[in-house]
Amino acid sequence: MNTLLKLGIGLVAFLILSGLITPAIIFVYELTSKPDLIDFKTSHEQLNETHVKVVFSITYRGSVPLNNVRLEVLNNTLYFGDLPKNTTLTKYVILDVSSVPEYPEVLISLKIAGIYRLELRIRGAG
Amino acid sequence: MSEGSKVRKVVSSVVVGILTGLFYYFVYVVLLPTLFSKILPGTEVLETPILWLLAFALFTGIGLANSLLKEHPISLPLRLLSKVLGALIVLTLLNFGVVRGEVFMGGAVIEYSMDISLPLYAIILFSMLMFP
Repeated sequence: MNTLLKLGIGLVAFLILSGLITPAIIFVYELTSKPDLIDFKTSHEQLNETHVKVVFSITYRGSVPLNNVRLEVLNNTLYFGDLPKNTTLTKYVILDVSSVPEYPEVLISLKIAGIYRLELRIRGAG
Repeated sequence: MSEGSKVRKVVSSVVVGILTGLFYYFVYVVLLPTLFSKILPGTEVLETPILWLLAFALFTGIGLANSLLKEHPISLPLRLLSKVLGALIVLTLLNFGVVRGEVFMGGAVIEYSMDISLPLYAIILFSMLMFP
């Protein structure tokens, strides 16, 4: 009975852990094999003397969904939400040019398959 | 029961207790953190010799007490204490499942952090259920 119970626990553990770990393995595999898995583009448009409109665009081509995708730049938060396969989402922010430093810090946060929170803080990009 | 067999029983209980403590130490302080740092190379395994020493003393101590008091009802909470302590040590050594690192790319510094705590908690929970 004890052995049977342990076998049962082992089987449940295997199934649950497989379900938890598989999305991470697929994501890492796609990240290393597809150079264009996540395409992040920015463009800007001068609105007037003092303000500029910066457009952020994210294209995702992976099979593991990305959730709660959020971008923070110069105290502005852009919420992209969920990114399923082959999706492009675009958001913009209007910035005061006088307050923009030469190399602004950018924070990208997301959840891989709703399980693994990933945060990227980018500093000093030219 | 003769004096000789009593002594033998106590000695065997002490040996079993110490071995059980060493087994817990090996699983929670050596095996699981090493396994995680190999699977995820960025995993920060804390270098804390005092914690290792404390874990070693506590695991062997609790294992010994548990083995000597096998017939006593207190052995069950002692066994549970070993497992909870093991889980806490693994979590502390692995920074509670938050992998951090830094990469340099095209003149920019990218700091990353990834939360792998959910599978870590699942592994610890199942290891607690599977081990004696």
